[in-house]
Amino acid sequence: MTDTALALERLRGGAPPRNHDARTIAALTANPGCARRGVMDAAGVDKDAVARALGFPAQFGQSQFAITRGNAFEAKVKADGCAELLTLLRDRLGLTVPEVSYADLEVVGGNEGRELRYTRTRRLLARALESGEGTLFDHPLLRLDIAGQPAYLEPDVIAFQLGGRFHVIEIKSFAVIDGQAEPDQVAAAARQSAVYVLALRRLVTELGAPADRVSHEVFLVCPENFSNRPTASLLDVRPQLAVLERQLARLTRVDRILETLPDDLTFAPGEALADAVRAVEARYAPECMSTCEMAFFCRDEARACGSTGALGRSVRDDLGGVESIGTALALADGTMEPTPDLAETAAQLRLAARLRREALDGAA
Amino acid sequence: MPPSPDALTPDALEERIAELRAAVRRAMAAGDRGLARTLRAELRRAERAWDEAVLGDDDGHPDERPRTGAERGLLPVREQVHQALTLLGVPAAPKLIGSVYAAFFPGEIPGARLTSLRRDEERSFRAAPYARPYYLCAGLTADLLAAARGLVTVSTWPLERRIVGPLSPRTDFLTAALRVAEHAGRGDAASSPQVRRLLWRFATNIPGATDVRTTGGIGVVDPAVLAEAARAELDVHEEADRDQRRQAAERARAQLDDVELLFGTRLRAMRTAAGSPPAAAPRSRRAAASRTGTAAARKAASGRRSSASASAARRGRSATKPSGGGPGGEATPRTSRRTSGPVPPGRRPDGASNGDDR
Repeated sequence: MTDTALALERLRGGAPPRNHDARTIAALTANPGCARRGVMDAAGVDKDAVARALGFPAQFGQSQFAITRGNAFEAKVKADGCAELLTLLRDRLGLTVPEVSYADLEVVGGNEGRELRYTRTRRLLARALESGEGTLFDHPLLRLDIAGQPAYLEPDVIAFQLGGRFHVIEIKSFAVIDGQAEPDQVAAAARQSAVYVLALRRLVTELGAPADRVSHEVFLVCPENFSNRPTASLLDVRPQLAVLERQLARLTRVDRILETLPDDLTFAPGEALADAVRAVEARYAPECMSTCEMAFFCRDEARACGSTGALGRSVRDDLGGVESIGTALALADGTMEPTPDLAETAAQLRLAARLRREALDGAA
Repeated sequence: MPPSPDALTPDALEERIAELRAAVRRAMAAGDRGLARTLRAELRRAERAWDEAVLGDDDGHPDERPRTGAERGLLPVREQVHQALTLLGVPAAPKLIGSVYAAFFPGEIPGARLTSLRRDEERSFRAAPYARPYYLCAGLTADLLAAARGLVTVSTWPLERRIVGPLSPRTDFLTAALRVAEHAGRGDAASSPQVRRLLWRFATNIPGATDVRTTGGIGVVDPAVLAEAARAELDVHEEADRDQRRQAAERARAQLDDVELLFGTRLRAMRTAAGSPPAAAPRSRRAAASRTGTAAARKAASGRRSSASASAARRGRSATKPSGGGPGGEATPRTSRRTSGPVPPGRRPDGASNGDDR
């Protein structure tokens, strides 16, 4: 085991790691500069529990009803040896009748260990690449290096078919009504599926096969109209893939962040938790509210120190180099003399302040 | 004596109900339970009369009618499951078992009882092996000979039928369709809505079974057409599936003990994260090595305690040596950085049923 893995284990404070999922990775790429999120996600810290221990419970989260509905729909599609899924695949992708092989990768010999499942997934996929054996792989476990640390991912199903290409199958419970689904939901599904496609491509490349044996078209299975009957459509995730690859490459490497942290830092619940969390720098933006469990804590912190980030990403970018709202105001009303590198920003702030003053005077 | 409540108008009845409620409360406050009981019976009668006067009495009182034995079925759950499985003849998920039972037998299987069934059976078998004529047990996966997720089988079936290979989910689905169709084709069973729904569920997912030209309409399934379509697809997969199952069954017979043959083996990954490796692991591996293959281990399997350790020994053999041959021969996970490979557990990892806990 590497030093980094040991350090992350310590950060977690002995708790079992939480599985990264495609949702968190898709969210991670939304704010790549946040060291706090990067470290906590890499260590697999239960952020929800930490936020609750700090007194900032996250108000959002997927509704229990939605989760139950999603699971029920998935179970229905996969019932009886994926009977409904096979029908859809035969209908839409031209899967041939003999291809019905099904491998359950959710449990390996009564064991749900991640390493074990990953190894087995890898082996079965290697065999599929080599000999063409196997058609459906239920809940395979893939691995993707996020910021130098492996994260495990679970697509719903992978289908492998004639023509020798893998297709990621994503089962979602939002309805496709009259051939149309809600664009937000489809976009989120596409982002998540892109993570799976990327992870699968990495695996296939590691196994010595060309990456394009994984199709960029994702097979999205949703309930049709107001029924519970599944329908399916192909989703091209090439744009999402490109974004994801760029963002992941840019992610600050976790071991570099870890070097700057004290050696005894841990996120285990206790008195020192708040200080421990504050020791890792965050980059709060209002967008965090919808994707990160720590958002309420970070917002509170950002407001307390008057960070410009709390006003939104565009404001922070416009005020490049000015860290706090207090400094910005002081520069604007001229009570603070700008350093040479801030001269331009300061001039614009003063201009803005003058315009505002004149506008208010005119109104009064 | 007040007039019979049946003869009153709804308004009068409401008044009467209010009066009676107050009277019941007064009687209870005074501590006269006997009077309170009489008044409550009167109150119920008045309320029922109100129901009949306002809602009409044709809908009956479904909530008040006690559930009869015929609705719930008089048999124990395991008997019900056994009947449904015997009809299907293949390993099946609890949901399918439930709908088959509801379609062809009187009553239905309470769903909640199905979830714990297999574990109860395993516990019973470990406590007193072969005390029952049959056990409801697990399907075995063809590669690792472990319990297949969410499938129930019957212990008296041939082992080949209980093995679940890569093609088996489909062949089992088709076989089940065939059996259900044949059963529905006899007599007039096909006319019940539950049977029709069951047939439709099979037919929509088998090519050629829902051809409108042959079945005479959407939503209508001719059992004969369904059976024919199922058999046609079954012909494609059957041979390969049978070979895989046979090979796996041979391996299972050679490698597993009685309990494992019915309920599957288990692997356990050894976690060596952060701390020192568990001290028990090397010891149990040695124990496994020393016992493996000895006749003593096989004999010792009769006792309850030693049965657990012998099964651990054999589990060790089947886990450390990749289950040779067969399509899943290379499926045993290789040692990796964090997992030092599957090791024979001294005790079962979930601790749920180790024979000596109850």
